[in-house]
Amino acid sequence: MITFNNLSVGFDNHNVLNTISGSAKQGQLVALLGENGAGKSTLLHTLAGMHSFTGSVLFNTKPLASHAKKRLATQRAVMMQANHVGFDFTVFELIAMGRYPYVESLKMQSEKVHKYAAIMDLSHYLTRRVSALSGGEQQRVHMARTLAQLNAFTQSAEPKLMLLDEPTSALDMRHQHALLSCIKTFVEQGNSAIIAIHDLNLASLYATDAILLHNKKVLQSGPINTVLTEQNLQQMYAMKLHVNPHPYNDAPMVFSQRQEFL
Amino acid sequence: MNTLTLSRFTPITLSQTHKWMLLASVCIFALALLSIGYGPAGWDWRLAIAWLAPEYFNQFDALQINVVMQIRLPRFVLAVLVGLILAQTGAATQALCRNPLADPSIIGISAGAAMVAVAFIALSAQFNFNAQLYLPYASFLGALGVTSLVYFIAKQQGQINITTLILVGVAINALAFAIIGLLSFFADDSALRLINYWTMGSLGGASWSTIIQAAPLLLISLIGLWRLKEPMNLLLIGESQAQYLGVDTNKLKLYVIILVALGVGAVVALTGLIGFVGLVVPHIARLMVGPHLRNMLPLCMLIGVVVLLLSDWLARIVIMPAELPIGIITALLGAPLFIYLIVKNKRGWS
Repeated sequence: MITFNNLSVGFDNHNVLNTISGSAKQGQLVALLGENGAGKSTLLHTLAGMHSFTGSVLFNTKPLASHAKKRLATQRAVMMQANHVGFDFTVFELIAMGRYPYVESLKMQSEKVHKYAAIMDLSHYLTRRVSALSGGEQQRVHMARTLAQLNAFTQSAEPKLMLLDEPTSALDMRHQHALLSCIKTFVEQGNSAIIAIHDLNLASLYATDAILLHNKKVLQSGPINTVLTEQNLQQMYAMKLHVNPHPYNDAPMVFSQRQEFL
Repeated sequence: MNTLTLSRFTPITLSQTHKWMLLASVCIFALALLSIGYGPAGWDWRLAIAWLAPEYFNQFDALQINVVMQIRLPRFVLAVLVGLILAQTGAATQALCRNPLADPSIIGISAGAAMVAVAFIALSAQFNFNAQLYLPYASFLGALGVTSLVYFIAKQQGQINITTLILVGVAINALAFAIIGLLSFFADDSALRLINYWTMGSLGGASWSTIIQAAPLLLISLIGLWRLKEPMNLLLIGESQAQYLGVDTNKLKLYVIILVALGVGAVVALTGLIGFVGLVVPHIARLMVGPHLRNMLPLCMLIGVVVLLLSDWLARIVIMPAELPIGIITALLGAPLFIYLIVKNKRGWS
């Protein structure tokens, strides 16, 4: 779906990403892991086409810039951190914006908005103003908008891609799992997603693959249960960590222990 | 349950907007009767319709009918056009800058148009030519020149930086008003009165010929911005978000800037500087129906017409038979209302 090769990105002569390569294929939910400032957001923004870069980014085997903008918007959606909206839209209006790339009646649009709002547990919030919601609720609104943009969970001939920057950061535990299982279902229908995420255990439970970013490079990438090793993680986070099997699921679990930094 | 909420939700938002629009339309109709029917040449609401069929209204003489047709009607049409344009360009500029406090006057377009026009008035005294004749063209050129200048300064690495846009606008405003102040020293007495009157705005110069002269520009701006309301709406949630949703934002911003310049340049040429309308009217509309341009823009434009008609009528009757500059009325009406709205309710922006 999306492949990047020898990708380098820099700001003001300062390299943020240095010749990294990777991909997200159909059916893969790729977790982008790394410490603060490792370049996770930069990589996502670059894959979304927001930064200039050297190297190549291919979306469906064609360079990103060669895709028609409106059509690309139905195949690829991006949800970024800090989605502050300066104007006071209602939840309904904001989710409906995801339908911009589609030509459809207002009635059809309204049905779609209700569908994706229900998936994100927002049915009772539709007339509320977004600014009156909590951070986690706002995050769910933006997720519903992203799902609406990709027309998720409907029959589609073409695979779709989601790029999500810490979509669970403000959510409570139930909604974290709800959101990630929703993305997992989306991916299992022949689509693909790359999510930057800090919670290693959530990543382990839902992601199929992982890319570990460290020192502007890819430390390791591959199936998540082969990548989440004590050695990799201790190198990445520079602290003592333990990886043990999950007692109920087939997934590695990461345990930190009390540390003394000072 | 789901179908129930579905069938309830959509009609409520629509009728909310339609209710306000209906109210604004009723106001416009009443103000139309008022502004066409009442004035120094005769006070009778029937004057507002008498011109349609003078033979049925033999209580009015030919002079009165003529006043209505040649003075009050063009003035009414001009007020409607200016109201539509000022409200729409205000809303468009706010979308462009993603800032509810932005206005064509903020990015320097109005001031640029005014500066060039005032230069013409002042120079006409020195070089003895008829400024009135060239004023509209000078004003268009000023708006277009400033807009291109601001645009090219603000465009960095292929992207238009909104912060730079606003800052350049601030600098150009200061410069333009300094030059206007400077030029007024070179103007003679009659030109000074004209400058003074004109920088405060007036619809008094309305005539069919000037309206027709400016009509193409006004219509391009009106129709063009109207057609861009859906993508402009996405700009409100952020430029990158709009791009991810499939909007070519650089092209969109360029179109909006040009269309705003066309509209504002034409309006400044016809009426001078009428402040507060482009800033306050979108605020009022947003407080009523929220920021979504599909609902807000039509309501905003109707309110713009209401405000213009009301202000112009007041400007004509307050110190009759003399006339106040309409800019004084819009500021007197707009500023307190603006403050009240800020205090009362923050729906629409945060």
